[in-house]
Amino acid sequence: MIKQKTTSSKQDHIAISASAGSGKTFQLANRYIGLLAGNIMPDRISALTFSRMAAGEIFDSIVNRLSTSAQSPVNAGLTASLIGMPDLQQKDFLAMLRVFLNNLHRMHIGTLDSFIVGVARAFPAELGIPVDFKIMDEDNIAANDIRQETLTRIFNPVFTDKNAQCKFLEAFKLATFGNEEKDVESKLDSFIDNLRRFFQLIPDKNAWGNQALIWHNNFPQPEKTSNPAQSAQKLSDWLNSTNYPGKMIDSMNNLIKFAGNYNEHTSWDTSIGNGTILERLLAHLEDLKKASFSLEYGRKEYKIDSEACVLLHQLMLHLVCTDLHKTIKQTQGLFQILEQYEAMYDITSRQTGNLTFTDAQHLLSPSGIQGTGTGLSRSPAADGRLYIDYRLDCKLDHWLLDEFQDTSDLQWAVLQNLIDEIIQDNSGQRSLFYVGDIKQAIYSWRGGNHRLFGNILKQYPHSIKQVPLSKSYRSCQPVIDTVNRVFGNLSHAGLPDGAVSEWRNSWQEHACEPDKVPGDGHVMFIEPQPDTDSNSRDNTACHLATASLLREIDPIRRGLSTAVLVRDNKTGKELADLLRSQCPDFVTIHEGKAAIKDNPVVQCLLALVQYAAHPGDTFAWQHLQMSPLGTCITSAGLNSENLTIAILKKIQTDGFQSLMREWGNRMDNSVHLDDFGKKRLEDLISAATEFDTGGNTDCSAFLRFIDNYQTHDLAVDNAVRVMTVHQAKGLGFDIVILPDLKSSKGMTSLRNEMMTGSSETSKWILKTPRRIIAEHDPVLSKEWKKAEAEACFDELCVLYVSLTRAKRALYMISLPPPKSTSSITHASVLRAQLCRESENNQKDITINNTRYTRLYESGNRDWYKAIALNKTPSAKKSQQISLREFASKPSRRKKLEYIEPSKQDEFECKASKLFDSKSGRTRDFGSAIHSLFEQIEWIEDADIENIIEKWLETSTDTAEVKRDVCEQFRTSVQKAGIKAALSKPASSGIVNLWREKKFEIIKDGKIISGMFDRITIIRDISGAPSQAVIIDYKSNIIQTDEQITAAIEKYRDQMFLYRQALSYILQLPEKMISCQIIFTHPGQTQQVHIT
Amino acid sequence: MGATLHFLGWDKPITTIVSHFILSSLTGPDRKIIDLQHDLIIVPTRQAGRHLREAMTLYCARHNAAMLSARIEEPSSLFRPHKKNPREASATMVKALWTNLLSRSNLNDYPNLFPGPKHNNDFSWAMRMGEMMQNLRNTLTDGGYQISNMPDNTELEEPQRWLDMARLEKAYIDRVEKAGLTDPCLNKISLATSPAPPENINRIIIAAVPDPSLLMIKALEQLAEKITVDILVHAPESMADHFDQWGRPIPAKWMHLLFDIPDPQANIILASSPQAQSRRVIEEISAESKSIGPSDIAIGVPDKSIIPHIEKDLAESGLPAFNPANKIMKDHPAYKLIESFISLVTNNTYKAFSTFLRHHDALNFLEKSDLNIKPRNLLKEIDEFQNKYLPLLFDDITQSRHLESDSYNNLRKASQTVRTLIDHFQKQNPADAIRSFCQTIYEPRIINTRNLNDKELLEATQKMDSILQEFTTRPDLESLLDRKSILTLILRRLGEQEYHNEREKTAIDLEGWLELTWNDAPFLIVTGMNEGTVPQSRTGDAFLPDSLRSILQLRDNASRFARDAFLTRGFIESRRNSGRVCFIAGKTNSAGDPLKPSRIFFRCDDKELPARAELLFRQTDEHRNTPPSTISFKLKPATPEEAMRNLKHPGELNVTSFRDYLSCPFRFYLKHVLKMKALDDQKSGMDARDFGDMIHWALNEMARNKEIAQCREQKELEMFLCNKADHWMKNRYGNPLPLPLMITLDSGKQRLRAAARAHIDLVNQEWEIIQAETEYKTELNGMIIKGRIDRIDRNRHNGAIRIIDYKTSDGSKSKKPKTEHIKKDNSNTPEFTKLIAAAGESEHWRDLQLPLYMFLVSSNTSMRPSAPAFFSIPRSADDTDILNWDGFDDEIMQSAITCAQNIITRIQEHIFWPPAEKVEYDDFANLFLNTSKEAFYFQ
Ligand code: SF4
Repeated sequence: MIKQKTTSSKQDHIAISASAGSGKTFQLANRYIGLLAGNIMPDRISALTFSRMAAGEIFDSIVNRLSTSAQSPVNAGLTASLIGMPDLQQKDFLAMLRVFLNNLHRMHIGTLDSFIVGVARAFPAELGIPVDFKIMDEDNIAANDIRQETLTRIFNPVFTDKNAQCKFLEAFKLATFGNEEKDVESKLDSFIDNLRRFFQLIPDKNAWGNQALIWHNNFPQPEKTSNPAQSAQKLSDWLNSTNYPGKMIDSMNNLIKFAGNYNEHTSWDTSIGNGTILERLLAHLEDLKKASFSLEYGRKEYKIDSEACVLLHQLMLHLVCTDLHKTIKQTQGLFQILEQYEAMYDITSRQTGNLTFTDAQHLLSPSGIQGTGTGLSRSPAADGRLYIDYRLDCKLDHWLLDEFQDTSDLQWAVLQNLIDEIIQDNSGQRSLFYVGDIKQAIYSWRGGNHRLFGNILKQYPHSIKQVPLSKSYRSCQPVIDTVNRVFGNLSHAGLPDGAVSEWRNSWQEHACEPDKVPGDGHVMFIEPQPDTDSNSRDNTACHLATASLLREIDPIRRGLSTAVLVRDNKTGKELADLLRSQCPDFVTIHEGKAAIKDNPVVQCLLALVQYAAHPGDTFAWQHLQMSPLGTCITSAGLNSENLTIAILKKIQTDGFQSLMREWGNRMDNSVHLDDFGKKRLEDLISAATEFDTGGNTDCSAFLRFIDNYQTHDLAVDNAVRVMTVHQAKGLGFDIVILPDLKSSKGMTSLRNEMMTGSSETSKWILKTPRRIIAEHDPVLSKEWKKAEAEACFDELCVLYVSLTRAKRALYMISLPPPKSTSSITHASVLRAQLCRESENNQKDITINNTRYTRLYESGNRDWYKAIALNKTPSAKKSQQISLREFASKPSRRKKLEYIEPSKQDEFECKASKLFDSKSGRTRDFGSAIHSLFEQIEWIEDADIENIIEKWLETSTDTAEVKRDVCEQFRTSVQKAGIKAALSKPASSGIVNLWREKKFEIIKDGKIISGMFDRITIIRDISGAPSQAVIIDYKSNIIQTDEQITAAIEKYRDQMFLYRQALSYILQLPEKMISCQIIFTHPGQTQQVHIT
Repeated sequence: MGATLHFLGWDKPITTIVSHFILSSLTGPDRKIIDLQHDLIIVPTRQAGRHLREAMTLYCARHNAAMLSARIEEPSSLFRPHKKNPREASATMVKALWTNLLSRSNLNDYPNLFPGPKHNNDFSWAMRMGEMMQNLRNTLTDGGYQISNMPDNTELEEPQRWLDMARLEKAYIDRVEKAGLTDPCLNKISLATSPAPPENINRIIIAAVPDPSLLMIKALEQLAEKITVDILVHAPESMADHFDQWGRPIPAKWMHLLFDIPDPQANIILASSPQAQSRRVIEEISAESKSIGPSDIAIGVPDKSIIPHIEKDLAESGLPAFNPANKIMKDHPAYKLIESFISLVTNNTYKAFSTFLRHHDALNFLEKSDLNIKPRNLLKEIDEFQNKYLPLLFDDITQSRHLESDSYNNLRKASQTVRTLIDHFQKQNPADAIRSFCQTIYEPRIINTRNLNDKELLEATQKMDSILQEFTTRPDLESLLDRKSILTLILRRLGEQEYHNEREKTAIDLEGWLELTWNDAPFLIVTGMNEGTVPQSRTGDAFLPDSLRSILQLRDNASRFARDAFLTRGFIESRRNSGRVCFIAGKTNSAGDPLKPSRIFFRCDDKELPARAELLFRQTDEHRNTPPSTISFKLKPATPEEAMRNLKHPGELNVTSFRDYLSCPFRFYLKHVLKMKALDDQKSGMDARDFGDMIHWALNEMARNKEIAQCREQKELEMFLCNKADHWMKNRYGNPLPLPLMITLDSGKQRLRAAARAHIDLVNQEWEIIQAETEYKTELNGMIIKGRIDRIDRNRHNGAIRIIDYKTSDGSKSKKPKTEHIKKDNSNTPEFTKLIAAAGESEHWRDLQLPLYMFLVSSNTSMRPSAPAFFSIPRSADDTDILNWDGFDDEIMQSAITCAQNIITRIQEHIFWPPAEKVEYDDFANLFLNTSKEAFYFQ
């Protein structure tokens, strides 16, 4: 194939740390091509990444590189040198392209999640899961439903016995110890939401709230003899005898009283419990113990009596000890809740055959609780591991891992053994290549652990080559300059050391690849000016500033892609709403949940669904009444009474899509929806289509689905897009605006409900204690600092990702800093890094007639003016394709309608009959009697008993049917009428008999398709048919003459069609054909007269 | 004799050439009746057969002939016995036997198959695992194998596992035999190894079946000894070396065969998503709409996920599409009815009951029964019952005393009826129980076969009948499985079924991959041209990975590729002269996972390859525009004139509703005049109001008991209150309490303990309760003001009177009377809310509750309360306390009255507009849609 004999070329293990915009995917594609060039077949390579979008990009990138290289010698040369195989030529790349495309089916390029699911599918028996399990996205409705179902099962005595329920109740009480919780379900929901992953990582009971593991022997404990209430009393007496300032005495008294009374059931009084006095006392516990301490208050120091010191010491220990005890108990309670939940969840999810990606990882991770204790392996003999080569039809020798910083511990646990096998392999036939950017690790809240990147390097220090990449192919110089200035030398006071040093370790000065990035660009950091309007202190000011910028630049008409990045869905929605009202000239899209509910069309249609399921809902009813649907309902002949059944029937028969379309059209007919209304209607119908595929007809589930629905259709390119930073990951925009730089919590605030740590031998886990307690506990404070540093590092990553999305222009907006707070926010970091006091850059500027303070600027402010305004902003109106007329157009091809005579009989009956076991037997009966009659050629020659005997041999009917059929057959063939019909006609000519004859003919442009039961044809001497009789057997249970007449009437159309068909087939005039029906039940033959 | 291979060319549609092959020698200038009674024609799928039948009929019509007895069948008919074998185990029995085997076996006996340490072989696992095993057996049967043959294969990997499986298979077969039955797979194999020619047939025509299975070939080999076997290939003679003797494309040859797609720029399309694929279909149709008509179009949908989108888009364009695939029983309302009822019977949950009641057939049944149940009221009652009594189980409803109340008339009747249905159900064997349940429910419904839905019901129930029959004919099932399992198995069996889809007239066909060649529409659009779908390649399998399939000569990736490349070629060649075929590949699936284009696209020559690759691996250049957001129409609420007419007590106003008017007059209108109130049955636990009711009730009980009300013993009072709370909870929610409510009760008791302490403080300060829960009315400006006052205390010591309102707020902080009633100015607040009293900083009323209580008391009694207070019972017990309204004076009082008068006047004058710009918590956000008033047309 490829001439060059490079097969044996050994591939190094490589780790690439690639900064934003530096072409990670490009590198990955290079590596892949390098492997191909080394004659390594695609089924030996695995390339995995995180997002689905990124997986698609890897394909595109590889193919693109190969095909451009196959098309031009210059490109071939370029690629050849990039992958270090300079001899490769155009034709070699063509050959590689061929190999790649021929092996598309054997490729392992995709998301890590899908790889893991694929493995789980190949080992269902080993894992105890159904082979056809469905995968649910973590946050979708199905996953939520399983969770609800699990909780319901725990509450339901049918599933959970009384003892287990009591245990659960105890656990809940323990977990919420000291806090009153009456809304059990929402509390549990949040426990499960936030804590499940901790349980999955550390399923060991002993690790949860284990005092000995955490503190060994150093748990803060007051002396046994001390009595807090007494101490408090004594202290208070002492305090009143001092001449401290009155305010100080009051505060201390409050504190002492609080501490003295504090027990496990007391709730923490934040006004006292977080005060400075407590802070100081806890900080100097050692001094208190030594009985020499002066308390600082109002910039003065007050000496404390040595006796009071000792008492205070004991009292503080009491407070700390009690509170920590509470935390420990809560932690243990949480464990028990999660344990029981998990057991029930396991059953529920296996029974319903629904797994989330996390569940799948869990099943395959060696430490997993429900897992089999297996890991994956490439070697068949590996003890207890799942041998993947054979079942997955692959030999994955070469691994390329993208976005490695987002790998979670659980995912890593699944892969680890495979990777270890690679690195420990000495054959040179296997390799590892991974790319990531620790600075973009913004998924720690989902379990991503960016440390894994470095851990592997540490584990195999000599085996893996590390390569940094920091040249941007995305952002212009001013953006890169700004990024360097913000992150190059982090010096903002208060940033935790851990975070700063970690950042420094992964930091590389950024640069631009000059020809590849936009030449002109702009960065600016602005501050709204205080205004008479009270808005200036609230986020609205930043949102208004965003509007000003957008109006000034008018990016949509200039064809510039624009994103406004926010931190959460709620802010996004607020901002989008404001932009819509402030800037009606262009379209703003909020790429968030439930976005399609932003208009009355969707709201009304949802009210219809709500009312159908809950007709007592007067809100929904009035809503319908005040909307155009009110008249639609009336004109459809519906009212508040019968609407419910009508709508439910529609939903349960045709699905929500059909309902939405029907009523949406009615609405449109009555008020003529505008473009936006039509668009939203279409969105809603699409959403309903998606929902219907699950086959669920539950109205509440549908409404919840819409609440969480996010269109994942194409990105809109004629609109300003408002989205979260996380959604923007992996994307680049010409203009990026950051108006949400002041996160409500500071950057260092802990986000995890749990705190983990490890002593020499094992891990421990504890519900995150109160800050003031943890910070002054020698053991916990260490972990606290670590956690703060981690939180802060995560936040820096978010900021880094936000800034590096910009290609040409970046606008940062923040309010003036509040006077009295030390909390660190994105805004304060930017301020510290960008606005050095030495270079006072502050200046007033005007944007769209509003004045702002410019804090920092780089590049050309008028950069966009060089880009022409397109006169028609919303370029082409989505071209309405009207196929309405086309629908009735004649076609070249003739398509014929089918008519089946046997299905002509139209009848009404009670639906309940359909479930009667007798009706099924009636059908069996009918076909049995048919098959018996079919055996009769001419009745005079027939051996009836023989026919019956033969039939009985093979019949699968029930004994009852057999008996009745035989009986009826025997009697009816004795009847004169039937005998006459079945005997050979006395005729001089030739007589033909057709039995059970299928036919298809075309008559009047329709296909008539059916089967004749029995036809007797009499031919004249020439052989041409002269006369014919059609006989049809009917086994209706009828007796009276009226019934018979009615039955004949019913079959008249059918017989008419038979006669038509036969006339056509035999070319015999219809009048020469007679029709007869043999009614087997009454044993009669009836002539059917057709006029 | 042997089989004969016929190459018929591919420049015409397959239906044309097959018809020609079969019929041309039989027609002539004279009128002929062609009776095909001795021919059996085998086509790949049922829909293919339908197309062929149509083509042959047309052929006859054109050639002066009439056709009789055309037998066109699917390949499976070759293994179908002439007569049904009464001893063959039904699919139901197969499942039941497997399930029984797996759930009763010790899995450690099969350590290589089930190596995991923990296997929960409960019913649901066993059933699914059994299905997995039987599916494996079915696939192996295609090659003529059983599991037990496998270990003989020397190339086999994981031989130990196969040995385990062979033993398991043996155990299964033993059970089949013990039940006096035979295994369908074994039957099939034995039929194929010694096939009897079908009765009266002396020629079998294999019409363009591109991938006959190994078993089918075995059968054909033998049949060809006895009768004529003609194998038709939709390819020219010149391609003969690309096919084997059975007409199968040879993988090794097709792997390397190159062919072109005409005008690839136009006929190869990449679309970003399933929706986009569908949009492209519409675009292509409209592009062609000048030269063709709707019947000239066929759309291939090998990827089923595209179907709903195409159906939707075509329907919107006025072109109903016909999806020939069968409909799934699981989606049929009758199945759903049975499913929800069985769930109710087996799980007894409230949710199951609620779902069942919301089935339209169930509602219809209840409405039409002689119980005079009104569906609307029934659903309203069940929601209200749920909200009030939070039932977890169905029994919680039927056994509830509260059901006796007149407000639950419909619910009572309905639940009793359902209870009877359940009891009746439990008395019969499962299959009969389902029948008679359905008969009862469907009693009032009349079906008419002219109605499409009714026709479907007919089709569906016929299928159901045959499945239920499988259960009734095997009484030994009850010895294999328990009742609940049998019910689940019935559902499973029913759910697996499909029923025939009624065809609508003149529609565009949507076709599956295998029958697509059989559609001769001149314009063919093939969607879903993605690897994994076309060809249906797969990597990874629990039992039969591709490598093993190849060894066993089962359908593997290579043969599927060859088949699909061949079929694709057929589409192209048969339309090369007149017609067009265009291919659409998706870039992502509905979950957003990236898709790969089909390898078949790359069967072009080297020159074209790079461009082709770039065409299919790129960002799609689709654009989506979105119109600016607007309020598409305004809501027109009823006018106050109309609405007030419907009010029961237009002249009455509750003290607590003033707060609503103050916060927003228009929302007040919606809430109190239009009476808009949301209702559903999703309430998960007690809400703040229920909780407040419990606390109020306990405290009121205390007030009613003179002795206890004066109790100074903390423990005693606590006990009293807690008992009362217990009593209230159990009275409302039943005994024992459901798990979540036990926890709420605990919280309630905690608060009551704190309240006890605070109350004793009051007693110690010489306060006594003189009235509790007293209703007062008075008139103000022609409006009756009503209010129920929690409690009025008098101080024995100084005779002071104090009006007290209990507040069980959920925040950790207590709400203070003053701040709850008065707020600082906000420039936009309307004039009528102004608090005249305040000097300097202007203040506004946000609530008038306590002052109006004062007013009610002083206008009805001689008591002259001084200042009102909250008895605050917040979450944190320490904050439980009496909170006085500091600084309450006559001026404030007077201002409150004036404000109330203003509001009354405004209501009387029907002033509810404009709405407030902002409200603290907006129940009406869905109507306002972030506008302040633009969403409405009012006055
Ligand atoms: S090709 Fe598709 S639609 Fe046709 S029979 Fe096969 S699976 Fe069914």
